[in-house]
Order: sequence, then C-alpha cells, then structure tokens
Amino acid sequence: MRASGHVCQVGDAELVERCRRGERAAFEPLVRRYQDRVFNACLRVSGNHAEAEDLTQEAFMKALQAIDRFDGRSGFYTWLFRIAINLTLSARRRGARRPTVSLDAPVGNCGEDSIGRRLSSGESGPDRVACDSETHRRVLEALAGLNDDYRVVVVLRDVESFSYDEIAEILEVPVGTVKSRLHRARLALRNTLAPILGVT
Amino acid sequence: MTRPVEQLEELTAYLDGELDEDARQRVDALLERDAAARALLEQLRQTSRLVGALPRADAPGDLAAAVTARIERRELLGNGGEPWNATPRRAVRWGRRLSAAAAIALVCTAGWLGWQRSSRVVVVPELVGHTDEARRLVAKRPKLEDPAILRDGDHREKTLSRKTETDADGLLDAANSASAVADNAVPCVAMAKTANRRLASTEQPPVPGEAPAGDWDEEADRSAGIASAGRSRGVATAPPEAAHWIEIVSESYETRTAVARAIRRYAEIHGQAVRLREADRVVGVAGCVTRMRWLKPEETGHSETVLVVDLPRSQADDLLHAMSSAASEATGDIHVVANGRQLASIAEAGPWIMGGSLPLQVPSPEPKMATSRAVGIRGDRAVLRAGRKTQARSPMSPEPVATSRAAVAADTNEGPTRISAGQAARKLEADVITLALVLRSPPSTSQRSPPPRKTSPASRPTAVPTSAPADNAPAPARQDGSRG
Repeated sequence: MRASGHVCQVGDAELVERCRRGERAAFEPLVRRYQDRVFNACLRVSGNHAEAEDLTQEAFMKALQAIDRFDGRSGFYTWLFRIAINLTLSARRRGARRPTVSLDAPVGNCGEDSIGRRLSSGESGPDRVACDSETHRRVLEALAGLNDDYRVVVVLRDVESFSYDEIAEILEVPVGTVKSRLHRARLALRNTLAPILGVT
Repeated sequence: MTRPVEQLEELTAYLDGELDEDARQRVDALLERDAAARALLEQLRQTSRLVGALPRADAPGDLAAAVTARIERRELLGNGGEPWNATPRRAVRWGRRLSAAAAIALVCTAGWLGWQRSSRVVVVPELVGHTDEARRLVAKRPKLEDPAILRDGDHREKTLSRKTETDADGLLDAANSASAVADNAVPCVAMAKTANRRLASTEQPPVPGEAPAGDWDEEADRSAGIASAGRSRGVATAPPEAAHWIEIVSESYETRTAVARAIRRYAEIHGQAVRLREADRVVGVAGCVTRMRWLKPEETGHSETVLVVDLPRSQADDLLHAMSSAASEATGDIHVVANGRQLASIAEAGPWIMGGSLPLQVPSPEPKMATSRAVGIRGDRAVLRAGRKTQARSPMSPEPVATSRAAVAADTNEGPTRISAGQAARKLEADVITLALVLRSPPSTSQRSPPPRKTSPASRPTAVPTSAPADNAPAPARQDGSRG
C-alpha cells in the first residue's frame, strides 16, 4: 500500500463516504495518509519547496470541496493526485509567464546519505558515480530541464511508482501517450546526465 | 525497415514491466541480438534509478492542521461563500454574490479615500530607520525598477516599466510613463495633476530628526509634512499605482519564509505578478509586491522582523490574514501601530486600513494574536485622515458610496469603460496603502536587548514617532508562540 505509514486502518472509501456525509474529521486521516506523497510529487514537479507546500494544501482542500463529485471509479489516491498534478501544472504554466526560483527551498535538500544508499543498493547502479549531493543537484537540474509533460510522467513513474494505467488516469491521457512521453523523457534525462551515467 | 533503437518505446515499457507477454518476448529477442539495445536499456535503467533515488521530502508536519485551518478560515470568511461540503452550484452562486458585494464595497471605499487624499507618503518603520546602517539601506529602497501594473477601465493589465523616485520628479516621470501606455480610459492629465499635487506637497525640505507632534490633522500634515518628516527617516514617496514593494527584515529564516509563503499564497489568490528579491537578486515569487529585503541583526542592531508592504487597499485585509498566519507560524507576536495609535492586534488594523467603510473580514484573532501589541504601522495622509474619521463615522456611512458611485459603475462594467479624469486619478490614488508591521522574534540571542517600554501605549498622537515604535509599546504578552 502506498500509505505513508499512517496507522489508520480505515479504508479510503469509508473515509470518503464519511466526508460526504459531512464528517470533516474523516478527512484528516486521508490527509495524513497521503500528504507526504502528494507533497513529494508536487515538489518534484514544481521544483519549489514552498510552492509544493501550498499546492499540497490546495490539493487537499479542493479534494475535500469536491468530494461529492468523486465518483469512486478510480481510487481516491489517484483522484487526489490528479487534482494535485493539475494544480501543479497550472501553477507551472502561470509561473512560466513569471519565471521564478524558489525562495525558501531548503539547502542541502538532497540527502547525501540517502542517495548513496539507494544507488549503491542497486545491482547495476552507476558505481563510478560519486553518490553525493552533486549528483542529486544534477538530477534535479535535469528534471527541471524537461518540459512539464515529460517531467510529470517521470515523477509519477520513477518517484511515485505509479503504473502506466494509473498515470494515464491521473493525467487523463492514453496509456500509449504515457509510454511515449516516459521514453522520451528518460532519453532526454539520459542525455543530460550522460556524464554521470558514463555515456559517451 | 527497422527503427533506430532509441525510438523503441518498448524498451522503457520493458524496463518498467509494462509489456504484455508477446511484446516482452520480442524485446528479449532484440536485446539478445542487439548490443546497442542492451546498452540503451541499461542507460534507461540507470536514469530511472537516479531519479528514483532522489530523497523523498516529507510534507510539513502540520500540513493536516494547516489544511483544516484553511478550510475553517474559508468557512469563516465566506471565501467561496459556503462550507466545504456545500453543493457546488449553491457555493458558486453565493460566492458570486459575495464577491460582487465585496467588490462594490471595496471600490466605494477606495473611491472615497482617494477623493479625500491629496498626497501619499510611504513611511519607513522607525525600527528600520533608527540605525545608520538601516537608514542607508532604506535610502536605497525607493530606487525600484520593477514594472508596475496598472489596471485600466476594462481591467486589462498594463505593465509599465518605469522607476520610482523619492522625489516628486519621479512622480511626474511615473505619471508621464503611465499615461504614455495607458489607453484613453485613464487620461494622462489626471495623473499629471496627481503628480503635481504630490510635487507641491513634498517640496518642503525635510527637517532631519524633527517630527511633527500633535494629533493627526490634515493641516498639520500639510504644514509640518509627513513627507518631510518621513524623508528624514528615509521616506519613500512613490506613485501609488506603482509602489508595490515589500520589505522583510528578519534574522529568522523561518520568519522570512513563512511571510514569503503567506505572500505567495495571497498572490495566488489574487493572481498578481510579483517578484521577491533578496537584495538585488530575484529569489522568489509572491503577491502584489516586488521587493523583499531582510537584514541581519548586526546590520540593524535589533532583532525584530520589519515588514513593510505597499499593496492595493482593497486587498489589505487578505494580506493581513496572510501575515497574521505567517506571524503566528513564525515568530509569534505581531505588533501594529497605526499612525501612532497602537492597536491591540493585527485584526484591529483591518478597519483602520479600510477606512472603516468595510466590515472587518479578519476574524477574531487567535488568543496568541490577541495578546500582540502595537509597534509600528504608518500610512499616508489620506489613510490617516480616513482612519481618524473612522472613529466618528458609521462604518457604512453613505457618503463614501455617494462620492464614488461613478467609479463603482466604471469598475463593475465588464466591457471597456471610460471614466473621467478625476475618477481615474482618485482610483489610482486610492489604490495603494502602506502597511508596516513589526514581527518580534523570541528573545533568544544574546546580541539583542529588550526594548524599553512605556506603560500607556493606547494612543500615541505623535505624527511621526521619533523613536522606534517598539520602544514605546508594551511588552508582548506572549513570547513563546513561535517555533523559530
């Protein structure tokens, strides 16, 4: 399960139904359950810590306000991500007209130990790469260099581990489009990260 | 004809285990015979792994509470008009009604205030101005080169590239620039007249160190001059249609970021283009402000966070909300002085700023905010006068409505609208207010000393305080409300 370690055992569907009946307290477990993942996705797509925080809040608020319109055909989690991603992309589009950089993105956001662990744990990881914050910085820059459509699918797949079907549902595009965008996005990333990957 | 291996999207799907059995077998066969395909697959795998290895960033711990608070606040304020679980159609209907009513009321207020105003002075908070270093920094502040946004009669945005000067010549330049790009709905003569009036009101030379005393009085303002007194403190006199800037002074990273977040949120609501700057570097995005500056304690000799905001008057209460939240999140206490009149809380600044013609939309402050004390807020003369009259008038006095009826009509029309020169000038003049708040950081560092305090801060008639407002304010009742 993708829940972020929350102890609440009540299922999403039941919590959603309680929210629909006007029990706002039932929404809090949903927030706690998915806030980290939504925030992380917003952060990786937007590239802005503060903006991601705002977007995450806004996504939950919109989800709550629109919960009567949640038809249950998809999972609440997928539906919530659709809202969050749409908000993030909208914010990005607005931001494109007013280019910005993050005011308060934490310095040292990379988590040096983490990347080292994760990369070294991979069976065929790029051992020759120095697994430090510099690597993270380059990866983040490469992500930022992608256009929004590509970056979103990469984040949803490689960061959030959604299936192609789920990504298609979130983005409301055909699965073939997801596959195509993901392939092109990874190729672009590979080209950008060629020095790290040892690609000549 | 075979495709180049890089066009084989199946490789990516293969990597992700998203191929059906037949396709997977085809890729297996390809990989067995094609070294280039194998190499590409490995590169794609490593690329995917690098992205997946990015550290996960957890949401702020209080996000659930923040969401709940925002929901409750929207319900309280009627933003959207309805509780979260209201039916959408009904919410939209009431939201529109409330928005329309609010817009009319705001324009009425703005028109009334603008009609009464003859000049405008942005006053630097004395907490900033009371050190030499701060004076030097403040002196730089008016030299803004950010584009300003002017809304014309049919609500299109006009971006004006012009500079803001401290003297009245700058006003004239600004007026000319504005009129050069504005369409006929905002005649240039109106702005030129406005600038000329301001020129006349700011020609008196400043008297360094002297501040006019006595009650707030229009004649006293004119003779003693808020402008001149303020200039001695680093006053910026800026055309109201352009002077959207914000200055945040804080040694606290949390304070800066919290306030910046609040402003961004505020900007998001109002859809305004904003840049925040750290010194001369653009570092972020926010609301209707274009400048952000913070100072370290060693630069200013004090530890307070000083926030100076110029913003459209009609949005003052929204920003008050945002800053209230930011203050409560960051440093706790927030202190407000309006025209030397010390306010019990930031909420009290709402009706003062709005000239009393709008119902206060700031909800009852949280207990910790209610304990805040006033330190420094100064506005221009028109605002001050309006503030004084507020005390004697009914909040919904019919006079403002009557005097700005034409402006209301112009502002509520959706199509292109022509308004008179006088109306345009009044709308511009009334559009911006200045707000200065002092956020007091918890007394945690050894380099700060507690400011001296006076015992009766309830009213302070001095036109321009000669010392730091914090020095004259009561001690905050709460010092531990921050997490920074």
